[in-house]
Amino acid sequence: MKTVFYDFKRSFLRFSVILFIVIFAAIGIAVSYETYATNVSPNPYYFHDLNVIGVSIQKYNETEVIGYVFNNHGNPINNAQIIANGSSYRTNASGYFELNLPQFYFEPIAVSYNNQKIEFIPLPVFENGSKYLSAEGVVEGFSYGTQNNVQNITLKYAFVVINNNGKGTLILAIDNPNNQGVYVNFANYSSSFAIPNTSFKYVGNVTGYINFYHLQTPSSIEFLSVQVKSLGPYTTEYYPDGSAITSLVSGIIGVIGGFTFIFAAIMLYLAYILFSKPRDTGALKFILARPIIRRELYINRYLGGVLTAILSSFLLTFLSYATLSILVSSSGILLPLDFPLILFVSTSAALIGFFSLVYMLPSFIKSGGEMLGISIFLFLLFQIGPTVIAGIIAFTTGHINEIIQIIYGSYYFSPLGAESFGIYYLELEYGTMPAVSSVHLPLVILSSIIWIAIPFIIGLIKFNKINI
Amino acid sequence: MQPNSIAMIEVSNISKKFGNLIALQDVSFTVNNGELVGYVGLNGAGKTTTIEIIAGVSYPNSGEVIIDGHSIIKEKKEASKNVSWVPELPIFEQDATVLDYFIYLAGYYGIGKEEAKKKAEELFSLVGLQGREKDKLKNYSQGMKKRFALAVSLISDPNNFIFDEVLNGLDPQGIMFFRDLAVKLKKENKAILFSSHILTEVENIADKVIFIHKGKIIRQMSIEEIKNYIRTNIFRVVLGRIDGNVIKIAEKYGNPKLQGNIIFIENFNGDIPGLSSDLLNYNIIEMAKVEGNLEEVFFKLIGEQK
Ligand SMILES: Nc1ncnc2c1ncn2[C@@H]1O[C@H](COP(=O)(O)OP(=O)(O)O)[C@@H](O)[C@H]1O
Ligand SMILES: [Mg+2]
Repeated sequence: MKTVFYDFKRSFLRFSVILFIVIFAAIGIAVSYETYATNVSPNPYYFHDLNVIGVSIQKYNETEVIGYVFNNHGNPINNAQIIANGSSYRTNASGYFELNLPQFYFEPIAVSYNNQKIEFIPLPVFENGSKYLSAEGVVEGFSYGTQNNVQNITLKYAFVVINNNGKGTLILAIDNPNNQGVYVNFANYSSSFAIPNTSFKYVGNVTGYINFYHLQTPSSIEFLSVQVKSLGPYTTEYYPDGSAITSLVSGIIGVIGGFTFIFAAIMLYLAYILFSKPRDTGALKFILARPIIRRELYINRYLGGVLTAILSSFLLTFLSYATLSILVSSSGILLPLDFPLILFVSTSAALIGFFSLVYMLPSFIKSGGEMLGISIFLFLLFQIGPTVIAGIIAFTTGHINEIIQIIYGSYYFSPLGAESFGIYYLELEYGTMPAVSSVHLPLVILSSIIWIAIPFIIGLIKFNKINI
Repeated sequence: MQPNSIAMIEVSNISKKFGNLIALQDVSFTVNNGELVGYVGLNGAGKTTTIEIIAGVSYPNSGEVIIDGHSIIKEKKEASKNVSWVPELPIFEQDATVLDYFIYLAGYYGIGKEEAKKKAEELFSLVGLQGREKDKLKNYSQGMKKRFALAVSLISDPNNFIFDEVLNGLDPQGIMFFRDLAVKLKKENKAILFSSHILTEVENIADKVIFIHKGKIIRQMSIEEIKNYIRTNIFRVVLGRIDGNVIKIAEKYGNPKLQGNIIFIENFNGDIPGLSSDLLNYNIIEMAKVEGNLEEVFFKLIGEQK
């Protein structure tokens, strides 16, 4: 088994491989940083672990501000500092504060804790939260009277939703608590805004200025509608892990996409160097004269390429992940681990699938030059083929609006499809990609396995028989 | 064959086709312990094909090769441990450094890195490559590559060696080295098969020569047999003057043939003084026994084959 390690070392410790890993690691870190710089630095509070929600009540000679300060998990923050109108206040153990300010005081008020600082203006209802909150909203509306002409009253509320693995919390600040019923509805992201009232769920009544309700929160992106009777519903987007992750993740997805595109070419080159060229020059014969059988030689060198693909993908995805995690560590929320995992698995699967395919070729074609030519054709075919073919199918059959469906359907027929599916699942989870009905996880897994295993086996069987 | 010598390389009835081309047809021979066997044939005769089958890198269409009792086809690993092959061409992965590649190949014999380094030091100085371990193989000259292949063949100290056109590309020093090595291996009771398309190359060191022509073994001869075979009984006289009587005079001494001013007398009776006095008037320029040319043996054998 030592020789497997050597074959791996000789494929991995190769100038081109190392160079590309270094380049992409650098790009990965750079993009993580760039993502951080564009998303985080200009609005640092988006990524803080500090949130505030509350109401301001105008009394006849003063403004009373009642607020609640909490972290990204929804837990109260004790002893946060509030500076308003030149005085300093502190939150109590339950995260509450109460300020007495002059009438019509609308200056920014600072909330700081643990070197993080956010501000809010004491409007009738206010809310300032990080982008890790799953949903937020401020509603200022009129409650229209019914036909029996009850007097119209204004109703203003602000809310945030926190998702703790399905056990969600709705925090609602309302300026006019009057035992109203509170209703919530989650709707499929791809469905329309028209939400039937019947699907709303009652979560409780308004009992004070700041209210907490338990919710069952979904784990995918959905539309969330909140309704405080008898206002109409207010609808916003619900991100299970907050929209912060989405913006952070999308930058990395782009880098990994570029990596897979280029690294597929590296895998092609490795198949050439590890198997095609040595077959052409006879070097495989020289090795085969050692105490080794053909199958072992075939597998050894194959594993050399596979390990290189795995290690490279691993380095890149987890390096990007680690960089970003460190940069946003102050938010108190870990970037979800399934983000690098899905990228790593799908990228490796795509690279290994493509490697299996081109590694099979030398069993059939002795000439290294021909093998390279065919591999490059396959590379181009599978890199741009699915999109082009799907486009042609969509146009000729007149199903242009189903083009996304058709493109994803065509990815099953590409060894590199796994990567697109990986990005699809990530976008589905963190981004704005609507669910595509032609993507089925079992099929995705099956197609990846088939693309890896079948060429490998065909190549092996053939290699056992040929005159090398 | 000596009674108690064991056949170390035993080739039985191997045939090999490349498409329609029959490269080998029913090839059988053995190379015994302590025996140095030359494998001689023209280019394209099938030497390399045979040797690659023995080395286990090519399959025969039929037949069997047994090395130290193990079939190279069915027990490839065991058999391969016992035989080293120096290929005709430098078929290595040229972009590796020499030492790295050596260590890599040693790994297949279960030899660890440290031990392989020690072996490399010893063998590289033996084959005259010391100080060049860090070079890339592609920067080696043809002869250096041969020397490298020789060093590699000695990694596992096997009992059997097959050398394919090993003297090709070697300088005189390299040729000397190889001869010394071959003799040394022979003394260590190894079985050695080495191919060449030049019989003279083999003559000085081989115990036995196997002739292959168009994929068939046409003859196996010991060196003594070959030497006898080329010992001719032709006498050659170069004359200054020729006339119609010359042949008649020469007929007393054998079967003469006239070519220009040269008479070749086959089955010469050995009477040089008689012949020279009879031909005195013809102004003898030169006379001598014709030495058989080693290469002619080969063509003669081929001729017999037709
Ligand atoms: N891989 C191959 N494919 C087709 N023909 C081959 C192959 N290898 C050898 N041959 C043919 O087999 C015959 C014997 O070749 P070879 O064994 O290399 O001869 P030698 O080593 O005696 O010069 C030649 O006619 C050669 O062209
Ligand atoms: Mg040859």
